[in-house]
Amino acid sequence: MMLSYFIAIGFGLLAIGVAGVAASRHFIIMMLAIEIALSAGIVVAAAGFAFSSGNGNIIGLLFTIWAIASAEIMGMVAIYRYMVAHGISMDVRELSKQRD
Amino acid sequence: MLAILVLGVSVIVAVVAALSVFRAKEMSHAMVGFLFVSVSTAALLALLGLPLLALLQLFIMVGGVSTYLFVGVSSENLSRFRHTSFPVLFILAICLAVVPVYKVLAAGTASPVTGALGSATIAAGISGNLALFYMLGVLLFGIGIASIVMMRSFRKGGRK
Repeated sequence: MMLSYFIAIGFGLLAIGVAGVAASRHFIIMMLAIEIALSAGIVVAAAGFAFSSGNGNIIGLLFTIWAIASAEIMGMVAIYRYMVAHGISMDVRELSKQRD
Repeated sequence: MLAILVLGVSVIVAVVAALSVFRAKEMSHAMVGFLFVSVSTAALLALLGLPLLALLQLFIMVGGVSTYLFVGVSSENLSRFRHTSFPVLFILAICLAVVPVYKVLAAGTASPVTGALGSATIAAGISGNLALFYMLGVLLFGIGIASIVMMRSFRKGGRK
């Protein structure tokens, strides 16, 4: 029964993250929403591992997720710095006008 | 009893903090919300009997990622526009969460079985639920393609 709870928590956080990407139009907030979805993935993966009698190796998968999350944040900060330096709005609707 | 209490507190903190990310007008407040999501995720890992992974989660997500985020994006203060439609977020999150959560909670995942992923033992409720995630993935892929097509038409319209 506990496994169901943890999977439900993971699905709930994943839903908030995915809905956040869809409902927001601020660049930084969208990136934070993706981070929340990655945290949900960590919870679901760890719950599956903990309740599968220790079969398999979870550490590689979790390090992959952590590496993706860290790389995403570093890329986000780099793009943010570029946008600030060039006076580009954080509104993603404005990004499509940048080429014109 | 204590485990249930910690689980409940962690879940409440995680969900409230995740929603506060989208409510915050100040960017640093949104980052504090994300930090609390990471801390509550670490608490959940500790609750699952994985203290090393909980520590790593704290070190990487709270100590590394959140601190880097604070330092890197601290110059962005107040959002100059209303960045998130909260009703859309709320309705979308409920719609996305209810169906899989209901299926998992209703499946009774007490006994793990060998599923579609080869020799890996996964719970019955999850293996029967993978189709929903494939559907969600295909849907997001379609939305991505459609947004590219719409952006192209928008550009063409803008140049006229």
